[in-house]
Amino acid sequence: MNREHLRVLPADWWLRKRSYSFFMMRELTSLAVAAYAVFLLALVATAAEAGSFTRFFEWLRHPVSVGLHLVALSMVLFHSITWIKLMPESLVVWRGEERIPGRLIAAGGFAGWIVVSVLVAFLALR
Amino acid sequence: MTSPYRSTDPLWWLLFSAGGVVAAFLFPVTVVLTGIAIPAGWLTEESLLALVRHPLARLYLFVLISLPLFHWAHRFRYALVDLGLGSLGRQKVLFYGAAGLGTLLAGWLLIRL
Repeated sequence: MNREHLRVLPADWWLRKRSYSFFMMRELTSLAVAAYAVFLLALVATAAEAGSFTRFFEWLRHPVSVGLHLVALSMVLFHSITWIKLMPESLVVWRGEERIPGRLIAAGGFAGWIVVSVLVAFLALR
Repeated sequence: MTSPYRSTDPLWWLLFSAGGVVAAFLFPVTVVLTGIAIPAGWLTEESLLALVRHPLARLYLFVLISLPLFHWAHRFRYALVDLGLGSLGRQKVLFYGAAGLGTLLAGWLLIRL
């Protein structure tokens, strides 16, 4: 079986329906995820030497950096929200004979997200 | 659809999920720290450097770099094929390889720090 030869869709299938475009936007948030991981790699690389770290830090205060961060933030938030909303699909929890409803799992995910975010911000900024 | 070889797919799906969780829960707050807290002056250069060098923060950064790279590799590999670009087979080596290299680089840089 070679599924790579089964292409039957037109190239713009993902533009033809809102839900398809939404799906493709969700998949492409992975680009922002990778870009930010590479950014963190650069942060770590510059931290080894004082001069390069100073230049990197100055760049972080530049409006272009702030703009790029805001774009990344919107894409990363899109990923977070869609990911947590899908958690009930992958995470099935039973309490005895009773299955915990999906809405409760998603709500727990969002609550956990907020708690973890506040904790990280507190530890970094204290 | 029985396969004559043992598939590595479960491993990539596992790394994709783990990276997805890490990115979903920890990326927004970290983006706010580097993109808003620093320009706003809530975090000075000295305190950021001290933070990055802290052993716990290094572990945090390793997890934040490595797993999300595998999340990207997996999701983007399939998204490109969904867009009619490239092939799953070739992108497998390229993308997981890139994520693996990023992981090694992160580990090496963080240990040397």
